[in-house]
Amino acid sequence: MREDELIKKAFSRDIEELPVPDVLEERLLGRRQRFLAWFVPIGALAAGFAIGLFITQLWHAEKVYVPMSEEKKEGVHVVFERNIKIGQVEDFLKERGLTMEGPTPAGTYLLKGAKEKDVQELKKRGYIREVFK
Amino acid sequence: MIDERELIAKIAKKDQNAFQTFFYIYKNRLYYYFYKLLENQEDAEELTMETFFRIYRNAGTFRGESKVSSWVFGIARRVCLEHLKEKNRSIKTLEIYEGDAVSEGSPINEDVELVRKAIEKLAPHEREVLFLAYYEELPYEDIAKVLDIPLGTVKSRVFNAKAKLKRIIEEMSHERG
Repeated sequence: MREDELIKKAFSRDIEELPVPDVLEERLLGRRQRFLAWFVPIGALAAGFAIGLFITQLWHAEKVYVPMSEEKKEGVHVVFERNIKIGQVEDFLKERGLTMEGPTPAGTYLLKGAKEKDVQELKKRGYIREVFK
Repeated sequence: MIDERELIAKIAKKDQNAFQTFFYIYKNRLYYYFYKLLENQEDAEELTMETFFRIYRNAGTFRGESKVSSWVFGIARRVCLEHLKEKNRSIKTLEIYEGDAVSEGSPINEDVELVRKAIEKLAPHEREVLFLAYYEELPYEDIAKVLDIPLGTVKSRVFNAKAKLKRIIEEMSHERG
């Protein structure tokens, strides 16, 4: 065996036989694992929330945007057929003592105080394309 | 084969798995380095920890101009010097006396166990330079950077340490009969 190999081997054996305290690993990697133990579930939760939010946004994009403030008002949100004149609808509503608000940015109208029978009648007349309850 | 440079690049991006791998590669070597220099288990533990923390924090500063092990032991030595300063201990414990150059003599041809025992009898600074040169296989230029001394001094230190090692081995062999 060459001199340098002999010295290297002697060091190798020395290192192998010197017990490295476990505390070193616990303190260095254990700390990291504890860190992960806290942050992985929180991260997963945050990711889940973000995904949920994204899906909700997608759903809304597919459907229509209904503002919360409008939702709280009593009535029914509807989307009228494209070829319907709003004046016609207003006349109908007036006859029944109802009022209308809108359109919202999504193009929906709130029929204030409208009941199921009113909606059915509007549908029958072909005024309404979609109803949101 | 693990590419240590790649590991360092990943650690610079705070890749925890890369850091863990790096830890397993170097933990024994660094602990041994400190333990043999300071001959104190607690200090060796603390300094090994500190070195790993610095590696983690400063991985981005590794420019790849030297071997990764040179960079690591450069950090380790700085950590050690700072520790000695804090403890008001003389840095002379890590400095070698350059005098008394010993002749090279006959080559080392005894068994590994004898060499190992002889290494134990060397002074910490002598063991350090042999460790870096023969175990870590750092080029002399890198050792000069690690120890912050001129290249010529590295050569003479290695020469003297090796010569002393041989002398110890010879004495031990005579004692054995």
